[in-house]
Amino acid sequence: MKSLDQRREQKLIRSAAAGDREAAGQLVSLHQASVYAYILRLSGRADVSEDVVQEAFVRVLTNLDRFDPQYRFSTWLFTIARRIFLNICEKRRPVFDSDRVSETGGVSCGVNSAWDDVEDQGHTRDAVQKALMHLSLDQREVVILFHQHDWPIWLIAEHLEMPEGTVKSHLHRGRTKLRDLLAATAASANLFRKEVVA
Amino acid sequence: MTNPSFSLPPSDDALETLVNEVIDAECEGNDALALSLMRRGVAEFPGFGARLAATRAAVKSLRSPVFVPDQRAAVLSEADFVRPFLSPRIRQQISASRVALAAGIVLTASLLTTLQYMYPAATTPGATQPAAVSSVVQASRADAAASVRSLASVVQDLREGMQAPVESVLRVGPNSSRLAGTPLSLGYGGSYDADLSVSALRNDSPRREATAWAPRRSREALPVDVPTVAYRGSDRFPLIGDKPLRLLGETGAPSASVRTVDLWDQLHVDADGVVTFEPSPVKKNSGPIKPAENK
Repeated sequence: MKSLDQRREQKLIRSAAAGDREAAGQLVSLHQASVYAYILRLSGRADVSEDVVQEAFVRVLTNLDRFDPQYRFSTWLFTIARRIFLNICEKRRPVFDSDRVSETGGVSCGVNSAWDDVEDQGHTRDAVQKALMHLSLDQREVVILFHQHDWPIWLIAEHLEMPEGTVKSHLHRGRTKLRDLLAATAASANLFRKEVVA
Repeated sequence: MTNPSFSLPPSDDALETLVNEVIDAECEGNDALALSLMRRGVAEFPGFGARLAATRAAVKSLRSPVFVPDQRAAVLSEADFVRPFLSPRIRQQISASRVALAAGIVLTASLLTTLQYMYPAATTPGATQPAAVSSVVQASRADAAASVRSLASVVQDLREGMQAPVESVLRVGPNSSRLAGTPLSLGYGGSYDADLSVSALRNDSPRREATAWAPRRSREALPVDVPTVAYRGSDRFPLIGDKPLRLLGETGAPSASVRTVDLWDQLHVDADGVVTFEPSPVKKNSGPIKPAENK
């Protein structure tokens, strides 16, 4: 049996599909925080996240008649947002040509270049984001969806189109790596603090 | 950060697995399992507590709030550009139109059902002019016969298109000749069954040889009556299409004896590809068949 929120969401979706601007606005308000946080954690870039979220919502709102109500709206939205993000990664993949290096200042799905972007451009400088950018894309996605959005393993597996065992493997490795990186950051910070005090 | 050095004890696969299992159990809300795993971890691994606490802290940090800009206005304006939203009034009109359409369909269906119930003869298509089953069957048969005739005419046209007149005669002769119903004997003047065959080169491509012969059951002695239609292709195609091979010979008396002649020289092919056999006049009662000549 569907919860009250789900029924309300279904009603909003039907209204928005019928052309109701107010309902569409409510749908955006309901889901923009989660999908923005998801893409921000994935990309490490606020500007990319804004672009992806906007594009994802526009696609969703203009294709609401294709939405299958038996699935969760958020899953559909996240899937579309993820595809848009991966498309951006594909388009902005670094080209190993000395003449074109200066042109590729965008987001990359790779660890180092994304990390450099974060450091150089000053977006989301928190330690968690820095640590996340050192995980592989699969590990990052699984850790974010499991711990930030509380998605169950089966749903993550469906979303990422990989077996549940692989999802668990990515989750455990990513979590361990994230912990180690954050611990290293904390240790460095403590050492720095001690040196300043001394 | 690329080469971290921290205060946690060295990694141990078993320890890490246990820590992950505890975190998974906690996230799934399975506190009993998490507690038992923690007890086991504390008992088995000295650094279990510190590693579990560090992992929990790392995971918890992911839940830190993120500043989210409100993109509703931008999203709605762009979506409106791609697929315009509708005003409440238009949406109400669309809804009303749909309801009216559905109601109209239901009313029409109900009316038709009622009419059918009240006046079944008037509302059933074709019910006013009943036709006997036999006449329907006859009509079907007539149609079938017409179809067969039509098909046969097409096939005939195709076959006519495959005619191949005879170019030249290759060989001729009675392969065998025997007395009808009785053994062949010298001096017998009765009727003979003859097996006269003519082999000819067809004029089609690829060129092939075909053979025609007189019907075995003609019950006529050679020379055969004029004209005797006698052709049958040895292959699938007629020797000269629908123009039969004509074997022409003199009319023999019932008691006439068969005399072998040089048939080869007496065969002619006309412009239409018709093979004509015109033996030279044979003297009547010119003599019995010699056994050696009849092999």
